[in-house]
Amino acid sequence: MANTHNKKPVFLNLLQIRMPVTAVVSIGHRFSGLILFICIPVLIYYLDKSLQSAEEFAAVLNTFSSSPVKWIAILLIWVFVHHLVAGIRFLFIDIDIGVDKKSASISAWLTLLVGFIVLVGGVACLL
Amino acid sequence: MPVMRTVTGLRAWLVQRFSAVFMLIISVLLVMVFLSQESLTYEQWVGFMRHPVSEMAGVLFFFAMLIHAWVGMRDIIMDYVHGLSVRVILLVTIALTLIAMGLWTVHVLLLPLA
Repeated sequence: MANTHNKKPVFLNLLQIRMPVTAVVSIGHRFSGLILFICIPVLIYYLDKSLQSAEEFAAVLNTFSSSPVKWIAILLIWVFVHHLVAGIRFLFIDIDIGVDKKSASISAWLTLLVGFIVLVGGVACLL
Repeated sequence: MPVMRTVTGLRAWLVQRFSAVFMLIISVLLVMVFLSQESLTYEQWVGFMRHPVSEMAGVLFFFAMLIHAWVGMRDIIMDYVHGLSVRVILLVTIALTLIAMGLWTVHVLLLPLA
């Protein structure tokens, strides 16, 4: 519906567009938010289970000490950290801190870096 | 449609930010509590979660999380889903899911024996 008056060509091949780092952080924030949304029932489920009895509590700990679950957990921690740090970055931008192109680009790289460090740290713990 | 709100973006924007900051504060406190523990037994965990302050903070935390998720999912759908009927179906599904999860949370945190 947006294109009824606008005949400009639209090129949206995401694999070919060279996105600036700020755009990568932004879309990463959105995508990580979607994943976290999907994780909410899992979180409540394990919270519920962990509080039911000592046996269930031990079962939850046992689940999270199995290798495939640990790998998934590391990935999800990365997703969470990216969402958190990118969100804090947006809060600063909201109050006019770091809006100019250079600092926005630096903070975007830092956001990716923090997530990457957490991911590498988590993987290092598992290996 | 004479009585429709003309601006809904600002409220959603504020809700998103305030819920985020609230969750951030609770998360930092929670991480500090758990890092100060050597190990966690079931008794300690239940004792912590059944403390009235934890219960209230927990319910508020999940409430903030669910409303934050609502605004975020609503933004995503408004940006990418343009067919009206599909959009309404998705929004209603997500809203009902979040309400159900809110009730579930209250049950888990406040009414464990009910």
